[in-house]
Amino acid sequence: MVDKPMLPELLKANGISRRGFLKYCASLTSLMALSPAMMPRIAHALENAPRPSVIWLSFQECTGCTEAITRSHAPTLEDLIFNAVSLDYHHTLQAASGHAAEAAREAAMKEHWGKYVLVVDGSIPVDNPGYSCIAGISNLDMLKETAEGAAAIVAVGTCAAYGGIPHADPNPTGAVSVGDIIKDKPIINVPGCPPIPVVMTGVLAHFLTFGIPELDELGRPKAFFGETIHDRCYRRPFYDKGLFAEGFDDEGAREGWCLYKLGCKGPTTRSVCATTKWNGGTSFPIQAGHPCLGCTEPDFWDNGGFYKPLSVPAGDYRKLGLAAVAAGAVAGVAGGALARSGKARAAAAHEKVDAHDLEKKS
Amino acid sequence: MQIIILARFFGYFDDKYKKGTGIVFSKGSNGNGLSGVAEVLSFASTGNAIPVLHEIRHALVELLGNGTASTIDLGAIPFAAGDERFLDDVLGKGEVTATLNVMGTSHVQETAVAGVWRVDHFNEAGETQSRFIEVTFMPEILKTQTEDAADGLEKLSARLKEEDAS
Repeated sequence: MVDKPMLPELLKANGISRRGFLKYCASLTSLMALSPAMMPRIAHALENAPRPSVIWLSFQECTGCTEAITRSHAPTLEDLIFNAVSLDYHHTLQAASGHAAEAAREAAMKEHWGKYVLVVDGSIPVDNPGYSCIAGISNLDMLKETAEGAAAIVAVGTCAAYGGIPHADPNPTGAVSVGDIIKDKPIINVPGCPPIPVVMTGVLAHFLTFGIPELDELGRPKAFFGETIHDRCYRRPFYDKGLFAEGFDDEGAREGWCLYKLGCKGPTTRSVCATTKWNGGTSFPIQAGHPCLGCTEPDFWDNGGFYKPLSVPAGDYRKLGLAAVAAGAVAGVAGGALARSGKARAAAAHEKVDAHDLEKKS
Repeated sequence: MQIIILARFFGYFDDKYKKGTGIVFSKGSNGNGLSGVAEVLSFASTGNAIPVLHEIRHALVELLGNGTASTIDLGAIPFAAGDERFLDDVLGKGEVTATLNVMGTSHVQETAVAGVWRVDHFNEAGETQSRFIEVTFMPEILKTQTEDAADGLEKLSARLKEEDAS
């Protein structure tokens, strides 16, 4: 770690002034929903933060989370912050493959045992570990082995945080989340499908500056998941006045009214989509005219249908999700058993829907 | 008609705007429903501008009383386009405007209420990163930072050395 340059040297080498650093710290403070008075503390902490080794494991996932975090429009200081951690293993991004890649992971683990940060995207299949392997090592084994020496784990994306889409009905692989398996390490959940890139870098920056952030009951940093999308939605005044779009092409839709009746999950979804937005602050789904899918919440894929309003009963799924979370947290139920029991119930209740049905329901 | 009803439901929508801007709130006036909606939405208010203005007044009292500078993060408050408009209208434009070219641009402007500054940061793509109201005698970001001055000294010394050598 010591042979790698610290952030101030990196900034200088990239021709960025101290003023630029202060600008970044100001924006980061705003992003982390901290008081502007904290700005000097953040600047001080970032300057003196050691650059931790990061091992990034990708399991049952679509690589959307990695795509999101690497897609920035221009090289910004966020990229530098990311360079300021030492990314020692990421099998999608690294040049090495096969045994050489695994050797890099093992070397990083050995050198930084007890100190490295483990980032995981993707869920873990437990029905048959052979469903997803890397270099012949099952996801389950690799997670357990790598988590053992980690200082903390960041579960990036809804798959790693809550099982996500692989976990969705009927969960063919018995997919579970990181938190279902690892019980003895601090886990920061950064859900989203994918999470907002600056939220991922913001959580890492928070970890560098102040350690583990304050988390909510679902293990998410409160700074980014403290409020619902509905709380901050620019269409909220329409909701308050009872003005709703009833279809995607009616007058209400054209005039930008609230999408609640079209199935918007904004009122029950915690995320900063409405303020931070996507693609460098350009827009977010509701601004583009589509209801929020609720992708930062557990079991969002099974939560009663994307185009059904929240007021329509969602069947067993929503209750099932909450019960699973509660059971996992309180009783420490083994992830595999939990996934299997959930799977059986979901398979029994499986409802097939075609495009014609969707048309009728919306 | 629809637009008029919609417009009435938003917060402040006073005669000043109607007269001052000459906006006629009907679809027919601009011949385009979408731009009419956009125009009306630009008056949409959350009602948060007035409390922020009171906060600024308190901060100004603090600045004058004991020299304490304050910063208000406008990104932390739900603000609609109409709130921005109202804030800009009340604070106005002051004597100093500065554009910083540092990792994108930053606009620093003293408002017509001296001691109250708008500081807006944009990234390289021109997208807004953060927006602040600073109540201070001089925003920190405008000052030359010690580290940058030290770099400057190094640079100048090196250039003089090059000159001497040639």
